[in-house]
Amino acid sequence: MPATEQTWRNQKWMHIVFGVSSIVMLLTTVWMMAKDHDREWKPVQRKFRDIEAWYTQSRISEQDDPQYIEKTKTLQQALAVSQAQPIPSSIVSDFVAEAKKREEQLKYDLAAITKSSSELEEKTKGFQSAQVSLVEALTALEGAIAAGGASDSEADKANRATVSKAIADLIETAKTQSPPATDISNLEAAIKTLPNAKAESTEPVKNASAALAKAATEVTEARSALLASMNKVFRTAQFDEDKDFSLLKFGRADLDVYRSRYNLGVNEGLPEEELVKRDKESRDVEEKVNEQNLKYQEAKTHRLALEAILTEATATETVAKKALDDHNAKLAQLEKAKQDRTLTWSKDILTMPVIDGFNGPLKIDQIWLPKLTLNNNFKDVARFDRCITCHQAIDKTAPGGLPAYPARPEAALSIKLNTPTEAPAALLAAQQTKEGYKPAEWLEKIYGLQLADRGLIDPNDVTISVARSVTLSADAGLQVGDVIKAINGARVSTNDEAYRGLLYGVAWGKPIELKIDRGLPHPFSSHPRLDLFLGSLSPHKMQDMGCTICHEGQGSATTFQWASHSPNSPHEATKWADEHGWFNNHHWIYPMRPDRFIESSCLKCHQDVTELEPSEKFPDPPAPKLMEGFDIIRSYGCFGCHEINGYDGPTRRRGPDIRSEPPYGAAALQVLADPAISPQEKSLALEVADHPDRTQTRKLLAELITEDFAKKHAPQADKDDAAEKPAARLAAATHGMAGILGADDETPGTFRKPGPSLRYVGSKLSSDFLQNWIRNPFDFRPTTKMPRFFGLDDHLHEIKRDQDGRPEMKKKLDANGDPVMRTPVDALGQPLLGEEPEFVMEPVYVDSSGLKQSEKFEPIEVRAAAEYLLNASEPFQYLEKPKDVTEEPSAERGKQVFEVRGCLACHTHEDFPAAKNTQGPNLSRIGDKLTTPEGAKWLYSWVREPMHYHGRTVMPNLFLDPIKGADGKLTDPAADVTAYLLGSKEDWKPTAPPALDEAGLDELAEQYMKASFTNSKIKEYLKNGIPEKLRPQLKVDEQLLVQTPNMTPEENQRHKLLYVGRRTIGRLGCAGCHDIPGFEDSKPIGTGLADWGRKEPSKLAFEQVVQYIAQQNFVHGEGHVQDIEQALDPHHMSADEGFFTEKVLMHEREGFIWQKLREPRSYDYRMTENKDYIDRLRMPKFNLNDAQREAVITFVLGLVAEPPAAQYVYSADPRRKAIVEGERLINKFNCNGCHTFAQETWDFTYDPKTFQDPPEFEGYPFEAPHFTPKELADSKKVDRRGWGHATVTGMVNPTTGGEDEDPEYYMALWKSVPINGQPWMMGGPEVTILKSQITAKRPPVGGEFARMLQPIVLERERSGPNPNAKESDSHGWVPPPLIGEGAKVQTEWLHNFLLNPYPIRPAVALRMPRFNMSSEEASQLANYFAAVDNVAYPYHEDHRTNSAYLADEDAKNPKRFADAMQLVTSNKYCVQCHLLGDYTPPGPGTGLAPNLDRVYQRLRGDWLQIWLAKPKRKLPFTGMPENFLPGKPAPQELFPGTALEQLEGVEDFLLNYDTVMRHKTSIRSLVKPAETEPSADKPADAPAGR
Amino acid sequence: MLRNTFFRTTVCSAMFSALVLVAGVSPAAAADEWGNLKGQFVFNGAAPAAAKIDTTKEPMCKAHNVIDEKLVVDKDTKGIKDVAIFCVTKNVKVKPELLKDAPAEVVLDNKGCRFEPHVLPILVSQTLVVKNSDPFSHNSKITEPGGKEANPNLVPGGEAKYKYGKASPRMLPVECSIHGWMKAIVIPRDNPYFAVSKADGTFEIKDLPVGTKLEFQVMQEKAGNFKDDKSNKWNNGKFEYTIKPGDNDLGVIKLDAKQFTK
Repeated sequence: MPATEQTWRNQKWMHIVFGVSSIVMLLTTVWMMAKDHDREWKPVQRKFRDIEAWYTQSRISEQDDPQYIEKTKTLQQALAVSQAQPIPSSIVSDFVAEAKKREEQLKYDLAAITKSSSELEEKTKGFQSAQVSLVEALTALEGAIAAGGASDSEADKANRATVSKAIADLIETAKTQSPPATDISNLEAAIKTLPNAKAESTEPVKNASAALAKAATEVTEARSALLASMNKVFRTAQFDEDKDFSLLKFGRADLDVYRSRYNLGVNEGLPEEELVKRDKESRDVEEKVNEQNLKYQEAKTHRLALEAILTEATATETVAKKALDDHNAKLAQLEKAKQDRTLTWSKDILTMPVIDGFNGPLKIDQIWLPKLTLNNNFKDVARFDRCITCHQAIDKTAPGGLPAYPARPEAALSIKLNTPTEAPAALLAAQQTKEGYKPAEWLEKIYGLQLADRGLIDPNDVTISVARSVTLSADAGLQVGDVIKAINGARVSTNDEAYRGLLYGVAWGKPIELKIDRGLPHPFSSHPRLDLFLGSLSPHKMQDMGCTICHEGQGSATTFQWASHSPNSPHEATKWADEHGWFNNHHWIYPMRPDRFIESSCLKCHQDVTELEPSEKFPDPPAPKLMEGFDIIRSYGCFGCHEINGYDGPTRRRGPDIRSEPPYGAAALQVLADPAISPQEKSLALEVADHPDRTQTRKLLAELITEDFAKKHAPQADKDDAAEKPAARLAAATHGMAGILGADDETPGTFRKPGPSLRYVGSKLSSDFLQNWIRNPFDFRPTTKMPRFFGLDDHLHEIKRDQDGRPEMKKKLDANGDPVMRTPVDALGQPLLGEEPEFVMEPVYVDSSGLKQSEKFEPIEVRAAAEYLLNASEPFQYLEKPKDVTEEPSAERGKQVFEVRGCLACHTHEDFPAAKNTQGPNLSRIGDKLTTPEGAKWLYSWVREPMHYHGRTVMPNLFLDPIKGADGKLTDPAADVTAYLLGSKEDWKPTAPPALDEAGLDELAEQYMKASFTNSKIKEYLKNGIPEKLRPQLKVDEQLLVQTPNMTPEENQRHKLLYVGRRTIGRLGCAGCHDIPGFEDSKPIGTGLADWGRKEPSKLAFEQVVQYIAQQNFVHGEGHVQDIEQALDPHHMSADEGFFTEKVLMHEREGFIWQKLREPRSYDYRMTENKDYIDRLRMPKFNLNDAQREAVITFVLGLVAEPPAAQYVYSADPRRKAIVEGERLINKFNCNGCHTFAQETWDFTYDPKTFQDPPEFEGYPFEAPHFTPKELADSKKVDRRGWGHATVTGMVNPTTGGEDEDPEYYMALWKSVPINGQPWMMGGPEVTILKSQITAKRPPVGGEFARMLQPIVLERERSGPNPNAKESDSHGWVPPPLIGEGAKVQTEWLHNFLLNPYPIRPAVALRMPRFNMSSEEASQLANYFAAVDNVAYPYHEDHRTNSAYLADEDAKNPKRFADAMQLVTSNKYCVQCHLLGDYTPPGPGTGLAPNLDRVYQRLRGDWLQIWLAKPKRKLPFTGMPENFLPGKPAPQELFPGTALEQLEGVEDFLLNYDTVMRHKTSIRSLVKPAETEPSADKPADAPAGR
Repeated sequence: MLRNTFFRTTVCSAMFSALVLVAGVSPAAAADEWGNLKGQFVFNGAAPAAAKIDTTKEPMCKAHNVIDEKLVVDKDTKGIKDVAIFCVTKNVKVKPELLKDAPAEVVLDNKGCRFEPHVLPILVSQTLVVKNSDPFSHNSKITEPGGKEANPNLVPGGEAKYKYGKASPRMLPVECSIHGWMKAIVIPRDNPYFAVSKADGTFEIKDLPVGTKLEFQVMQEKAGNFKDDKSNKWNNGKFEYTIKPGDNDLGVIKLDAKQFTK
């Protein structure tokens, strides 16, 4: 086929196809680029740039105030003055002389200098004469005015005085300032006030002033010309120097070349001749270089000389210029910042498509966290957090670490803006005439306010752009950026309306009420806690932590919806969906935490949790909700059933660890119950019961038991006889304990079971009470932490429905059987007028088989459980009352003892409503509980010696020993308290238990037995019991059903009850909280919660709970909820309920746990029909309110078991760790119930001008305040209102305050603090604070009981022995505050004291009780106090007890200790109040002070020194006098020396008391020599020796 | 006119800085008239018996008959001892001699296990000297809100000095911690117009400026500032009175027993 020109395809078509596809491709590309360019975050960034620029601009505008302008003017004037100064001719001549040295060489134009200099001189003269002329003109004017004649009127006299002052001022300025700032407008105004003003013309003055100004300008010009010509010379010199230096550098380079040439020659072995030549060349060059160097040095010296002279000439000008520049620097900085943030057209170009790829101003910001990985399903990947792309302000701080752009709260702020007391007349006039009335100016003048042209977020917002300091607006606290929403209740939407509201018709003198929107909405606001998060000084810096590690969500997303934001309420969800297209993205498994659960995340890194308590560094609680959750979980004992195992493997930590401690103590108690144990085993078991932490003892006991067990299983001769008694001595139950006691556990749980031990429950409670309590604990004690297990049957009721599935309703009837009526109401709950009342309807319920089962089995279970507990209870040895007590117990005395001896530090009782601590139970009804004689005996034993009943109870021993009265009668306070408590009744009686349903019991037992036996066997066993021979094959539970010889039907029934009781206790997990005999090795029955926060929602059994909630909402909606669908609409609920209901509907974790805590059994709704009774849900219902429930949820959701890399996990430094550990123990033992740990704290503001500074410090240098100059300077800072701020901690003088309008309070400081630049010291003068100045109060920490007790003991003292007893003295009779305790006492002493407290202060109303504390716990507490006060621990060295120091002092004054002893024991000094050794001063007990013989063990030397010098410095309320006032020594006959020497002598004596006393006691004299046999060859009385 | 302005400025400054001489030479003061205020505070109710304080446990004090001085009512006249009355008008005109003749120091003595006097108004310009005339030690805890405060130990014959920083309308205690009942009351004032009622309840404030309305405060240790007063129509113990020349006798001022029950 011949070749043709025809192409394969039609060319024309190809062109069309190509053309079209090109266009399509182009369009696609454009579309793609447009799509790529149009990103959601860009407008946000753009807006934020606007906001920043706006704020910067308003800061710039704020600079524009009179003070700033005035200062600028002054500095400019100073610069002008310096620039108009003549340059002294000596300087010029020096300069010329120096220049002449090189004039010829450099061709200087020196003539110009000389010419300019003489010109300057001339102009200066002209200026001076102009000055004189002005003074003359002024003097003449004064003369003319004086001659004008004065009238006698006072006004005229005053006006004339003003005129002469104005003239005098001008003359003064003219004479002293050059050029003078001659502004004669004041003078002219003053002259106009004179009657004959026209006579005096100011014309000559004006002219002279103008001439002077002109002359000044000429001087400035001449000076600048002179400087310019001098500079020219200088620059020439500098150029010459530079030139010489270049030549020198070239020369040196040449020299290097020639030297190398020579060296190379030597290396190459060139002929000597050549080498000599090269050497010469090199030397020649060197010579030239040296010459050039000299030349350069000369030029340099010359230039330096000229420079020095020039600098001298311009010295004042330079200084003035720098001052002005510095002044303008802040403004310049702001200007630059504004420029940076403003998007100009040139920057805008960079934001255009494609171009923006090249470092455009708008871009995605991200934080890259390679170590803080994210688990992306099976793979840990680096975290990219791009949140800051939109949240640009998030880490922006204002001065003081506060958020620069605070978030806008939902509710508007209410602010009172004061107005001037009288209407400004000029304003009213201007408003009337409307002439030149500019409201904006008036607003600024009156209030110091300016409004912005447009709003920041919404352009229509009325926004404050300037609020000047020290004005009415600043006083009101108005800030830049505040949006005025309403003025005096009227809405404001334009600036004009705002002007009208603030300037027209104002009730002058009365405040205007403003509604303000402050701060910025998301995403433009800063983080609210920059002290804790993101800030550069915070522990969670933004670049180190990012955002999503706490907030979660999808950090790499840059759009609102893909970031997985989580709404906090259904309302918010709807709003977001409308505004941002938000949807619930199920596919991202880490959705952001909603606000309410944000604290959950803390647990990832803060595994010990307690470190999240407020601390000195972070006094505002870092995570209050989480901590509340933690407290509830600990105190309600959730961990008893739901273990929170913080360890994954023996040592790998994965989160908080909240587990019960191993049951070593319980096992030891079980061993003790065995009558056959040996004395050695008994002693070991006793030790383990009290100290389960003693591993060696525990293991030894286990070994002994195991040994005995081995005997039982040793091969025996007659194996066949199973009934043969084994050779083992111990019971099988005891053998079972060996496994527990011998266990190895590297990381045991540490939490004690929260419920009381039930091991001896039979020794105190009756069966009826116990059953009632088990059935419903809230019945006896509504506040109890014990949950309710029975009677939870809401979910067992079911609504009857009609054929269409609609609920069937009936009329609701009241108690009389009459229908209940109701008036219809509107949506707001207001009755609808005119509507007829209608019947109230309620649903009809159907009989539920589940409910019937509950009603049948629950009473049986309750009874059986009680029966088991009482049966298993071990005998208890009640304490006998002391024999020598003469008085019968008295409830009246008991009440007093109960009040003052510390019971109320932990317990509440309705007789004492002021006591609020709930560490122990409420005792108001205790008499109704302990109704049996055994109960009374038990209570006595418990009150007197709690540890006798329960070796490890936290209830302390209060030392209620018999008291001998003044009349010699001996009373027993323990018996008195018992009598009082037994009389505390409220006529409560336990409900009588119903008769036992035998068939039901069998049925229930059968359900349990099904797992082990066949149906026929079950029937047989239930009738006759299980044969004894089967015992070895039976489980422990079923052993209870074993026949006993000659078993009666009653015994059989009892066996069944015990069996069901035991199974019930096991099923419901009672042993999770209580120590129950026979359940020593029980395990938690609930789901572990260690990783529940990430539990797959599909693994949660929601069952029919949605239908149940719908039914409940429908029922409780009482007709408001029209149908079941509406009953589930979250928008019809409160924000909280709606939130959680939605979570239930969506089958999310939050919803599951919420409903589980609210109605734990509701997941059994319509499920009970399909399962056995014993398979039903077991979770009990706790007495928690909504907030507590949410706190628990917050904690549990935080348990994610995803520990981040080790460097992110919080690990405290040793001191902080000691504090955290100590705080845990303080909570455990409730130390803060009695003792104050921090006094009240007040924040207040003051006016620095009127604030009275403290009197000058007087005292010894060692008690002087320690504040750095910076701390003092910082305390002087004032806010925009010109007010100072301070925070003081201490005790408010109770006699101050009162009902005045603005009463004064005096606060005695407990912490030294700088205020207004002055040190205020602990124990120094009280700070006076007006009520109106207080901005915040924080209550004292701990010590509620002490504060409650103080007035009681004071009153008791006043009504008894001392009617004049003082309030200040009574502080010493109650538990002391422990502030500064660590710095006060020696750590080792405190440790010993805690374990074995002894009376220190003889005057106290109650003793420190003895807690059951381990030595380790005592050490931790002692270390805690030292760590808090930042002093050395556990041991510290005091140089005062060092033997070398003592030897030195002894050498100086050997009588020192003898003198000190004399002073201490003088009845004029210490022993007037203090006990010492065996000496007790006479006088009433309340006046006595601690025995000094233990000071050396107890106190730290540094503390003692200050205490002796000025006791108030250490204990502000003390009555201890100052014995060693500086310059006022004690009588010399007691201790010769100065007051300081006496002080130190006494101090050293007290700290070395034991050493001194040892020297006073001769042991040698006490030891009698041994009597020896008289030897035959030596006489008996011959001296010993060789 | 001019003279009055001059006078006012002078007296104003005299109030606080106690410029005795300046006020003394002021020609205006000499020409003014002065009047005295008198009266008697009487207990309206059955006179309570003096409560004796049990000092038997204090070997040094048991010899003294120490009574509870919070409220001392004379059996016969029913006069109340130690009621303080003082002028609280700011910048009150003061007779120059009163300032000139005021002693520089005022003594508060520890004597017989009590303070003598029990209630002691004092000028802030004066120095308080606390003495101990007993043959054993006392301490005197001086309390002054916002002031230096002190708590010196006083051996027999010892003394300590203290200067109050500012005037106060309060009863500031001086207490002994060794002897729990011992308490005195000091009222630092900036004008010398104060008095304390004697055993029969009578008092007299001398040389008050005539013609100006002055405000007086009445205070008593147990009753405080008579907050609940009904019969005398005082406002928290304060009343106004314009002094006439000569003696101004307020007569018997009955103070209701109920007010002393604190």
